[in-house]
Amino acid sequence: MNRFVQAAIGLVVAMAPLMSSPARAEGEEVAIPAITAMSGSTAVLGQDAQKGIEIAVEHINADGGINGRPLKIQVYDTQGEPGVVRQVMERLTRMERAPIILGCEVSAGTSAAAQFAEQAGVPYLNSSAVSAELLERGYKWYFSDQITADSEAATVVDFVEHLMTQGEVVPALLYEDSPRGAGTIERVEALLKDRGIEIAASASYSRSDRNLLPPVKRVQTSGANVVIWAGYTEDVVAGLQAMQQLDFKPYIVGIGGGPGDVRIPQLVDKGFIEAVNLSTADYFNPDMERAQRFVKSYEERHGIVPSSYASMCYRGAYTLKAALEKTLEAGKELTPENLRGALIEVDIPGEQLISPFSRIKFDEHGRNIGAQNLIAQWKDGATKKVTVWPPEVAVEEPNPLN
Amino acid sequence: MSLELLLQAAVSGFLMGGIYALIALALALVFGVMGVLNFAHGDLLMIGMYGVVLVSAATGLSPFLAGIVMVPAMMAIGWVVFVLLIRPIVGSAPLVQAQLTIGLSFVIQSAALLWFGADLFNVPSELAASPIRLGAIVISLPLLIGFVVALVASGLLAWFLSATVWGYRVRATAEDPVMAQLCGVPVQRVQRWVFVCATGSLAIAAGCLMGFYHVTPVVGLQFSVLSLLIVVLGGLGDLRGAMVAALVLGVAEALTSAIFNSASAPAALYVLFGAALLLKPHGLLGRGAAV
Repeated sequence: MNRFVQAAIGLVVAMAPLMSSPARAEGEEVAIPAITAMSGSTAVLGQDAQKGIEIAVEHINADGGINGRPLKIQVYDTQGEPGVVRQVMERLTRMERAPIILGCEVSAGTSAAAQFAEQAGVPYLNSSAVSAELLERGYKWYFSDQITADSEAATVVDFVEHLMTQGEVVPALLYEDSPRGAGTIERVEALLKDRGIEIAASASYSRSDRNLLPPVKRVQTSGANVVIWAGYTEDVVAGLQAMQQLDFKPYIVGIGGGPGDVRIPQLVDKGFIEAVNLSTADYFNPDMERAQRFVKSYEERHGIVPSSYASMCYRGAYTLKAALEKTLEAGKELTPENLRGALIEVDIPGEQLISPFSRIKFDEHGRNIGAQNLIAQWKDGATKKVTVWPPEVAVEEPNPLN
Repeated sequence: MSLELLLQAAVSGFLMGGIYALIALALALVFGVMGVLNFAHGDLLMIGMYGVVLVSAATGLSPFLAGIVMVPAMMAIGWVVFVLLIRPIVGSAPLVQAQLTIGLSFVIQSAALLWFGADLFNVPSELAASPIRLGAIVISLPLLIGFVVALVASGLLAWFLSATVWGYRVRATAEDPVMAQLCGVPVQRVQRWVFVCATGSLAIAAGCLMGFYHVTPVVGLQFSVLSLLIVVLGGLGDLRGAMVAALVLGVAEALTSAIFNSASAPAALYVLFGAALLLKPHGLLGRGAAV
């Protein structure tokens, strides 16, 4: 082999690391645990959350990881049961000495986890539960980058007031009676009363009800033309079918993962979804410009656009990244105390987020002061879910009142 | 509370009760013939529901027909479960039976979660959009068809038990297995076929349910609890009692939900259940074993 060829090969070998992704993470892994319900009745949420985490970790590591070190997020199954949450938290904090825990749990499990984190003195970063009450407990180690039931209620009532500019609105409340549904509806009810808006009916049901004709009929007979509905996917599917049978077509403003679930058009008549202007107050919508990298990767891997559940822990992984980087940049060890200090200092601008938030910045209660909702609406024969509210992030106008 | 709302709840609850009856009859029959209270009953039903989704998706059949297509597959599953798990515990202590069948329930749930994920599945049908209206009362067509199919299946079961030789053998085994054996009834074979056919009948019930309902890996537990309530309310081992209890429970479930309109509705149902047990410990028709 002549010297020229040898030199060329040597140059190519030397250049190889530069030609590959220059930022790809190397070195000692930063391993952080996340908890979610991978099995049990809320497994839909947990399985989507895990998918979101996987893509976040891929993106973070492709962009250079945590100050050059690869990030690993290990997901632990809690079955969505507070008892199991406590066991998992004990294992993570006392035996495995995790410096911080990412939480993708429903409100009941998050309550148990936050309580345990407080006793153990380990930061718990909630990206899922919307309970506002948890933020009012004065916890030192609990941080939530998620929206709260208060911000959901405010967005929904603002939207109802927008509809009132188009004609007479007779609102009714329909909700599943778990703390998630009932808690949010309670806040909506209080806000509507504060603003002098009269409620025609309020009907609750159990999530496991197989027959939703009675509660839906109760709402229909009240003469309501706008239904504010907090529910999970399965009861929203059953409720929409009941509405179709009753030929009841109100303007639906939903709350929670159910009405906005990307699988709804596969489960319910698309024409009816459009007829009721199915809308939902959410913390994510795949059409947002800032979410496109996540949406594209998710679609490539799973063949479907990501749900809000998938988005929440993708966002959480990035909040975690910011805290980890702040700690390492300050030359500190990744200890619970240092990470808590870093979380207090985190300030991520809205443009860098996949959520409609103005920023991620925690107040003294651990509440994200930049969290805000959007309203997304199914359009074009329920083929796409479009961000329609608030006007500053809306992609299209909301459908007018029927 | 309007009369219209109560009537709506009563009618849809009654129709739902008919489908509950078919589900619970299978459990009552198994308990009556072999004394095994199968806590995995709802999970076996769940397998049928997933099967109906797969058959409907592959063939375009309505869920009701897909349920009938699924009968042989469910019978095969019933055969395997009986031979491997149920036969060894016939005559064992109730706690052993409960532990084994609860274990089976967990295994089925986990397998469904691994196989199908946590997503919910249903069978989209145009029937849902064309209800029958009787004045202000709306009757869901899939629910009505499900009710009729379940009623026919329950009727065939009643005819089989009361008018065929094998039916007599089943009843004799349920009445007194030792005496039946002495009279030449092949008790073990009867028990096996009862379990196989009861599991097969769950495919029909699954088809009725999938006309308007959905399936997830945890749906089985709801139906196990419901079936146990019905079997106990109807009187342990009393098939006619189970039939009546299913209809009563369907109506009561819908009415409590309509009247109480709060998280207390399921509790109200259990209060009613408790009261019925206190007043009728041998079941609604007074012909079952005491609880």
